[in-house]
Amino acid sequence: MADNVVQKYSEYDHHAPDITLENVHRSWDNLRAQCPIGRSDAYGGMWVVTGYAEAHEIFHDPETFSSTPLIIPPFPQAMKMIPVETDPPDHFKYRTLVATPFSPRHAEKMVEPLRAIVNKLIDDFIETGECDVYETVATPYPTLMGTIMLGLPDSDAKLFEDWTHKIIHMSATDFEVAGEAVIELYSYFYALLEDRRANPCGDMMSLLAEAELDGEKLTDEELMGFCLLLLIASIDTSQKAIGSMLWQLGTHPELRDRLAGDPKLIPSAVEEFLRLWAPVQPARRATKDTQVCGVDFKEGDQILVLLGAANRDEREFPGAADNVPDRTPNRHLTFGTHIHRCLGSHIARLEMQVLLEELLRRIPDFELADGAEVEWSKGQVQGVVKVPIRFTPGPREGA
Amino acid sequence: MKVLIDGGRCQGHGRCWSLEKQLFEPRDDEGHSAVVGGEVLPDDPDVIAAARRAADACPERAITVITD
Repeated sequence: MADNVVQKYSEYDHHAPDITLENVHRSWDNLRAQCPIGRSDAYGGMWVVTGYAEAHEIFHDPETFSSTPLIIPPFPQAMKMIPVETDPPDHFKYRTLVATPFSPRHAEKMVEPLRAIVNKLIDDFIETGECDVYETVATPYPTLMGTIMLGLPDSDAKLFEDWTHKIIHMSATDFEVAGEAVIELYSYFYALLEDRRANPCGDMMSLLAEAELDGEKLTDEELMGFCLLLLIASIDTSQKAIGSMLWQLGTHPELRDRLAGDPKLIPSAVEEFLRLWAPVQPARRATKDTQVCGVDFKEGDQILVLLGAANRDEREFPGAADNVPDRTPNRHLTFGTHIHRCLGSHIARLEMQVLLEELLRRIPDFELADGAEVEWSKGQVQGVVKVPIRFTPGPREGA
Repeated sequence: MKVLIDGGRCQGHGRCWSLEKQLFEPRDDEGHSAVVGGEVLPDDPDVIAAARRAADACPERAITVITD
């Protein structure tokens, strides 16, 4: 078909080159209307979940549905990403090690530093009246937040973005390039952890360097598993979620005006943007033969859980395609659910709220530039990755 | 009225305490939820409505609101 809407589960491939913003959600709706779970021929065969109740049920049985591997086809990684690719009972021990820096209390302390970052980024373009806000805000903001969270030098931001992009978006097409990025990332963090062992400074890397499980220091494999996840999960996911949010605001002036005029709506509106634009589409693997939701899974079967599709299931969200900023109930699954609930969710939510507060305060009339073409990033971390906008120029606020 | 949080279900999403700050708060580093001041709350229609909104927002269905 000309618009490339996927007609059958058997043809579904989340990396297919013809996926666009125009057809991605229509394909999901089309598949879900046939059945909430179906079988694709891609990657040696995989189940694809598009229904909300079905995604919820699978996520609530981590013993039967392991989160290793999380990625189809897998990243060229040597070790499991920790904690997300670990299962009970180890999962809990790993997760507890890094819980404090991701706590609500700590996230709250990040609000003013985040506000300062956003305002500095806005200062850099506000006098021009136009920019690609994906490049000026959605890209650097999560990276800078990630460097603060993890205790990394912000001078290496470009390096982190480059590795993250290659690993997440090139593993399916150019395994070698992605593999080199993984090796560079491991070498970088290996050296950094050596340094933190000698000079601990209370940051996340020092915490990992000194962490113990059952009286033993973490192995190099475990440390690299943590570092790969912590870096890519802080950066790429938020970039895509923010890109999609800004694209939707730039194309929906009535929604933009409503939020600019009533900032109290922003926290609830952020949940609605998260629902509509879930960046992460994780995978699971059946650990035994089982029947769930009427489907016979065999041990070893891989399952792609399209959280973005589950979040647009009319059975759970009436008028699912509409952005309703005060939608209630809104039990979206964007941060996952059950034991793998996104560790960074508390900080990510505040990151998006602060961004909207400041952007709508300083350039309340921004809109998509004439002739701007949408660029959609597909795969397992999805979102709009180009958002050219124009707006009434304003003054810088910083020195 | 009473607001009960099932500690076995709550996974620290924080949807309740981020949307209804006056009624819920995080009780640990994961963000597992607690009812501010204990589970018994006044039978005020606004408070009941806020508690129900929070219960509706929970992806784990961990919150139960009991009114007489």
